Amino acid sequence: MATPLRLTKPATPANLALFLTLVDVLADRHELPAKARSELRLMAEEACSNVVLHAFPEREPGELTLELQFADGVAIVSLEDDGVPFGPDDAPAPELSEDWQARREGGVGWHLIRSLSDELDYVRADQRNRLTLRKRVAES
Amino acid sequence: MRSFDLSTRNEANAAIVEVAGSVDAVTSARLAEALNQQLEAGRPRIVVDLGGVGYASSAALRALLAGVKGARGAGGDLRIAAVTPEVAKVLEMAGFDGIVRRFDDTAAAVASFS
Repeated sequence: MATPLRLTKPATPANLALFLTLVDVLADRHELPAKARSELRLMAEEACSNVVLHAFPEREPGELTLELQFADGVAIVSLEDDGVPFGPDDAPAPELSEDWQARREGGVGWHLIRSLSDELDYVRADQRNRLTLRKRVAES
Repeated sequence: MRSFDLSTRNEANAAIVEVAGSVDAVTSARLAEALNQQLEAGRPRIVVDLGGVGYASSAALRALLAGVKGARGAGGDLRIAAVTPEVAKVLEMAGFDGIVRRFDDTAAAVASFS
């Protein structure tokens, strides 16, 4: 397994670009095809955005650590933060209504993460959220 | 930083917002702002041309949905055109097909307002 890529920064909107750049670096390093690259980035973006938007509702944003690994054709995206509990079961049910007036301007992040990942593991331990996503992005 | 370009122009029937590049959590605010500007200028008939967009996340969908709500609330509509396969997949996964009217190209979307 190649050395993981890891970035720890405050979970702010301004730092989202840095986290997403890390995903692009992994995709470049392993020369992922366009479709796999796009889906991996979308999965990682939705996960990082969840932390930025929801993990620190009543205090200054804490730090988010994003770690990316690649082994045997599988990308492993790991996030850790010390925000409020926010796992897949804490999120509202996916809002996929076709009624535009009723539709909230959110609520699809976890739905996309579930749709795009092959495995999803969320643990709340030591007052921290730890989310690990696995996605096959290339032949092993 | 991934690319993002946006331009607007007005035709008789609609305002046209052309977007290219990645519409994500970093860049979607610029799309939202452009849509707001059209609404504030009294132009609630909007076509968003997504022909140059190769990547869109839920942040893009939020901006579009806010635009749809604003446009319809003002008696108009926001319609999308030239959707690429990458964006179409995200729209489909998010159940957006029934919310926003989609056209093959901008000319067809503009004509739909006649």
